[in-house]
Amino acid sequence: MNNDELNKILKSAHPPERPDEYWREFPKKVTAKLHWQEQLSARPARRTHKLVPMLAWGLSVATVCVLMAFVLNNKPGTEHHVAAVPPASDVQFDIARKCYKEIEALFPNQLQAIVFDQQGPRMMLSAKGDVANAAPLYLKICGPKGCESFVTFSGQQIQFNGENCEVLADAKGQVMLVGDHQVWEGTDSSSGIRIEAKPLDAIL
Amino acid sequence: MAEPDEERELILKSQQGDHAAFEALILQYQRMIHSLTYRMTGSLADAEDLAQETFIHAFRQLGAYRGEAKFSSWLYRIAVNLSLNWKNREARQQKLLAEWGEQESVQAHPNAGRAQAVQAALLKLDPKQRAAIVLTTYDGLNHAEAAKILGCSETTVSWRLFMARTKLKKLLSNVDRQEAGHE
Repeated sequence: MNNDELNKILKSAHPPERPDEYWREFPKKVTAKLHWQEQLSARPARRTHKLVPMLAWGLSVATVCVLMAFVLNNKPGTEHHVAAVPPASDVQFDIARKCYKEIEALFPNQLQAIVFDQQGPRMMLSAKGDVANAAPLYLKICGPKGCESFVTFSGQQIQFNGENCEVLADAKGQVMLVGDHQVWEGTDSSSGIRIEAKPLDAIL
Repeated sequence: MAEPDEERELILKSQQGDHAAFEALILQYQRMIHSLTYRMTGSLADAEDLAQETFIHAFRQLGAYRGEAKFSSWLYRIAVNLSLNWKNREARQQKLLAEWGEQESVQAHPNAGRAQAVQAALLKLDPKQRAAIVLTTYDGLNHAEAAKILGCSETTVSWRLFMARTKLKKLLSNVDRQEAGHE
């Protein structure tokens, strides 16, 4: 085989095609990430004097995610830091609200949930843009393994305790999580799980 | 080389933090970057992640872009460097190769089989050799341009290409025979 024959074979192999929708959405995905990272990096900067050990990690995105995890998860051992700053719940709500507004504006009717866990914020999007226009909920679920926060809607599914759970909210704002094998609501002392839920609208 | 006025304007706006302008730049170059990252990783998911990372890095470093190189070359350089440093690369490649091995027996379309064979062969190359092949064979860059992007000398590019081609000819000799058989 000579070089021309090899080139012919190499060039005959095309990358798999992606749908047009993918190419339309891709630039938005990138700028949504940039939006987020700018928002998140702006927040710890205002709290420099409270988070000196964290800021020593640098200005990279990884640091931003670590700081977000710090803010959004009430992990044991960090309580004394949180107590010294403005009430943690206000900070959490503020971040959740900003993330929600940014993402919903970019992906109308596609946002199923925003998950804030120890890896930083992640969004779950529907490919079809068929998510009902409902009031967003802020959920904080704490269990033996720590806390996770979500922005989601009644009727959507989230991953919790290793199960896909449906979020159901009533008119009074009470929320229950319905898994395949169990239902969680409020504080469940037997499993050590505590669910806090608030309409995100209330803090907009 | 001078940038077209429209592109220069978009770059300038992006440097000032204009996300809409940056989206327009992404729109222009996204397919090129995805092709590169796919050929470097052999995985659509990894290619998408790397393409996103490329544009995010580009936006952050845009302040340092002075237009000495073509914008496409500058982007290429970011994408190639990220691809070469892609974490868990080896493990992912092994997984892909295993998956493709399984798929070969059920692959019905001869051209799809060939594309997989080519991609599998590319993944067996040293990543720097693979990058040299991708830049020159697929993207049509000459050795000098590829050398700038890869941050090495033209001689090094030539050597990597020689090594890569030698290995690819061996790996793809069956594909060549199959083609001859079809003809």
